Amino acid sequence: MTQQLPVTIKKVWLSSAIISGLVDLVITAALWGAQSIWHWWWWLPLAALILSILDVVVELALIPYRYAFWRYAITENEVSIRHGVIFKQTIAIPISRIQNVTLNAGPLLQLNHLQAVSIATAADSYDIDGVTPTVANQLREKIMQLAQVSVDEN
Amino acid sequence: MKTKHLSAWALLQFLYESVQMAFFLAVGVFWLTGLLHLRDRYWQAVLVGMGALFVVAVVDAGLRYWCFTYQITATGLTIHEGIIFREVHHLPYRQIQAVQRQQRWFMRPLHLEQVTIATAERVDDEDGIKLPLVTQTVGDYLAQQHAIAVTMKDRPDEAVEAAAVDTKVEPVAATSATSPAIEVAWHDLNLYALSSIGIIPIVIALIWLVGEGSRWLNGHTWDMVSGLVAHFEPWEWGLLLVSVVILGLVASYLNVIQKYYHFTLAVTPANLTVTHGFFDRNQANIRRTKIQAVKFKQTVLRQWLHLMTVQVLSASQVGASDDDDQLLLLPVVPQNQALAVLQPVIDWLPTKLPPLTNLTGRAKFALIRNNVIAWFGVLAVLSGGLAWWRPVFLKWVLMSWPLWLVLACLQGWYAGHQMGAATLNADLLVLQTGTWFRRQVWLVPRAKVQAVGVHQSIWMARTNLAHLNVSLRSGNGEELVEVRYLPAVTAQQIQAWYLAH
Repeated sequence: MTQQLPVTIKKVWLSSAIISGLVDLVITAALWGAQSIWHWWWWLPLAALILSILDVVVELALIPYRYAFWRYAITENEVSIRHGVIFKQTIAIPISRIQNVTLNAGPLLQLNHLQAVSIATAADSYDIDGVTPTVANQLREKIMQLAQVSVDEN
Repeated sequence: MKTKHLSAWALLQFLYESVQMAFFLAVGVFWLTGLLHLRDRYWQAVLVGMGALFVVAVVDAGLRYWCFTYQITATGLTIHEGIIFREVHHLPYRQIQAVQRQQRWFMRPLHLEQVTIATAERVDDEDGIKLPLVTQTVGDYLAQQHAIAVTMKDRPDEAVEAAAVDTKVEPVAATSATSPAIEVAWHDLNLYALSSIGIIPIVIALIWLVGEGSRWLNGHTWDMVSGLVAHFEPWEWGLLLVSVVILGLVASYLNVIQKYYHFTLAVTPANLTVTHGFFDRNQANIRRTKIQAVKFKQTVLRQWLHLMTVQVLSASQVGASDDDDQLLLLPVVPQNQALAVLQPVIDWLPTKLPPLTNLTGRAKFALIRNNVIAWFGVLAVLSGGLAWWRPVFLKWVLMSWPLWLVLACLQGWYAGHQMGAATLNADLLVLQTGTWFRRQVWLVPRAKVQAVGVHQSIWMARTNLAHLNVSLRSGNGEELVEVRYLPAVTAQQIQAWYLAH
């Protein structure tokens, strides 16, 4: 059965968008400074400002849709992840290909009592953006248990 | 076997490497002291410092040689190396993933070679585990022990009792299990060399050389040459151009021929081994169980000539060269014989390819449109840059826009006609891509696919198209094969096929 991410993930995305916007503003300010001191092109800070505003507005506007479309499912045979608003992705990973499951949490996830789950195959890794620590541990246990069964059967 | 040093000739190789490093350092010191205006004032100290660098280089080479020892035992190879930081590598034969042997032209009369050993551990090219210069018998012995260990690992029920108890390194006879080797036909190699696009970098290099001529030639000679060229008639320009192209073609042809000279693919129950090269003889091998996918490559020119190149993706590093994790299995094979030649080598390959699901007209249009947009962007940035910095060239670039845009359309059209995918049976996936006028056909066993993704934008949803992404293991990383703009139903069917079994 497909699962949705916890609603608090929206706060993480919101904070992330704000931080990203602040970084963009710092870059814009640096470019404005460079324009004032060394007479760089005048349109450069202007373009940076427009891009910064666009970046934040788009990121913020997409949060409800991003939340609505993010789904994951873990069955006995596979892990499937579906996400994306404008560009939708559906990824299927058979349990037997999973090498490792890692739980990690940066400051934003920790503040919101969430953990990201990273599922690694021999080629790449795929992330579930954030789940509660209890669910994260359950997911890790379940995936590794299923993976072990799959290895034993093969 | 007792601990041994490398061949004495390795001392010369170490000396060359150390002196080369010292030379670059000395040039750096010379330049830096000049920059800081110290060279004239303290020239004796600079000279002594530079001399000391070379003395240190010689001592370093001697010590490195002295400290590098290896020992072949019943279970594996042990290497001791390092002067200040001592390192000991113990490589059990069972853990060795590949043994690559390289014999440079000057090593051949001395029967010496370089042996590179790849293990499952991630190693980069520079720090790969190497025996820099040992006798060929050592390489033969290691290759044989590796083959035995692999056979035991893959088929433990077959007792290979002769394995590895005798650690005396002697010339090794070819094993009876080896099937007849496959050799690349001279005629095919010739066609392959003639159709090589290696001419492009060579011509660019020649043009660069002409451009740099003004720096290297003295003023009078350069004036004379440029004066002569300035009075060229059109036919003389044509002759010059044709000469450059012919020179480029010959250089490219000879390079390919020497690189793949006597290309041989030897097959044992456990390994595939390729050997090639005229000046430098290279040997690389791969465990058959480590093969992740087989890739057939063709440039548009070679499509006309019905020639293919075959590579295999490996789960381990193949060696320090040969694309590291993609072993070149056959540089050239006639298109209609490719599967027939390779099927006995890789038993899961089919004898015939299935018909692929190709792109719809709408999908082909999308690829052409994307290419035109991408090229348009590049040309716009280039033209903008030129208008700012070099307005004199702007006219020429603007005039060439239609040519590039036609090329972009052709590129999209080509890609649209090549892309496709199909499942052959429950266990084999066939993917075909076409980028930069190069067709690639991938044959992938289902068991080796790591993940399958279906990507679809909201605009593609309206036209029922989707990108299919197939994730494969390549060495220690990923090779992502993307078939773009497939019918969404086909992409979803392939994903379902992947999960269903």
